[in-house]
Amino acid sequence: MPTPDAPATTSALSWSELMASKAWPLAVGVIGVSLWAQLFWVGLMAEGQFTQPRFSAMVCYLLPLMILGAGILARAPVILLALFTVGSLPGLVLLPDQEKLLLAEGFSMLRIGATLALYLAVASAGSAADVGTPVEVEPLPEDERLLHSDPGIIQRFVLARIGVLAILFALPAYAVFQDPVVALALSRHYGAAPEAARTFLGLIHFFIWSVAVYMMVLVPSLNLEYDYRRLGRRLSEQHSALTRPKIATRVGIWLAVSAAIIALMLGMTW
Amino acid sequence: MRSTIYDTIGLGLLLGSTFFFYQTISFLAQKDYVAGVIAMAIGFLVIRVGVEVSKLAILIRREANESR
Repeated sequence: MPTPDAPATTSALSWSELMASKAWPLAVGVIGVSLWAQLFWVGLMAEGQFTQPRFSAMVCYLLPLMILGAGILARAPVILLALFTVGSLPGLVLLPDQEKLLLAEGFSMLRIGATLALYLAVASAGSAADVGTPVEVEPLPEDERLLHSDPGIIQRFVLARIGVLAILFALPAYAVFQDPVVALALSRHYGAAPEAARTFLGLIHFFIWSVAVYMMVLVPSLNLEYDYRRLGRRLSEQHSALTRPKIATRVGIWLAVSAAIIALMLGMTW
Repeated sequence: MRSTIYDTIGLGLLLGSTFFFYQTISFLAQKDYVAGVIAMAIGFLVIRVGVEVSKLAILIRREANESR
């Protein structure tokens, strides 16, 4: 994020240059492959030892690696941050029960979580088409008060979200490990190995929570000043372009779409 | 006042996302993987909207401070 302070700007550019260099693809590749190996290497090896390996499972295990390669080549945040993590879910579903239980042993979950967090941080830092290009530093107006000069706003912004994150961790964790309804569903639908299914749900919960931390606290906290100013610019542009007929047309379209969806849902329900 | 309302709505949306993640766990426990992934996607979208509304709250507060 560019700031008017010279040392900070230099530091930001150095970091940007580092992320634009060959070190970034190597770092993302190593961390991504490490994450993949922690999740799927044992499952892939086990699949190879079966007399009849499941082709679909092997494809699902290897899918995140292909997505990782494509994401590094394209430097596309959507591929590296969203598709890679979502692409890992089918492999987790198809992982044999014994391998799922291995993921819950010892500090495995903690290690996987730390690797996922590191991967998200490094991948997001260098993945964009314009990384490494000169950044146009936009000076703040002199009379404009910086957000960091009023730490109360940021403290409240971040602390409130950390509280939400605690709830977001506790409630699904309760659902996975304590909720009798979920326990009944697990024993009914995963009769052979409910504990393995519980580990799978624990991994999904941890994945959801890690992504939520990234979306709710990490990215907004790092980019708060920049995001806020960009939002202000967009709103003022939209405000100047909005006329009364345009507003009426938009409201009319949204009302029509809402009415159609409600009618469709009512039709499906009755 | 407006910024407080927006801030509350933003936090409410972030809290509301918990419901969808709880539903995700329930669906996955019933082996309903498609419904689980859809509920998870809705949860992340709700978080995204909550973050944007919170930014709007900061913007409104700052504009109110500047106009004083």
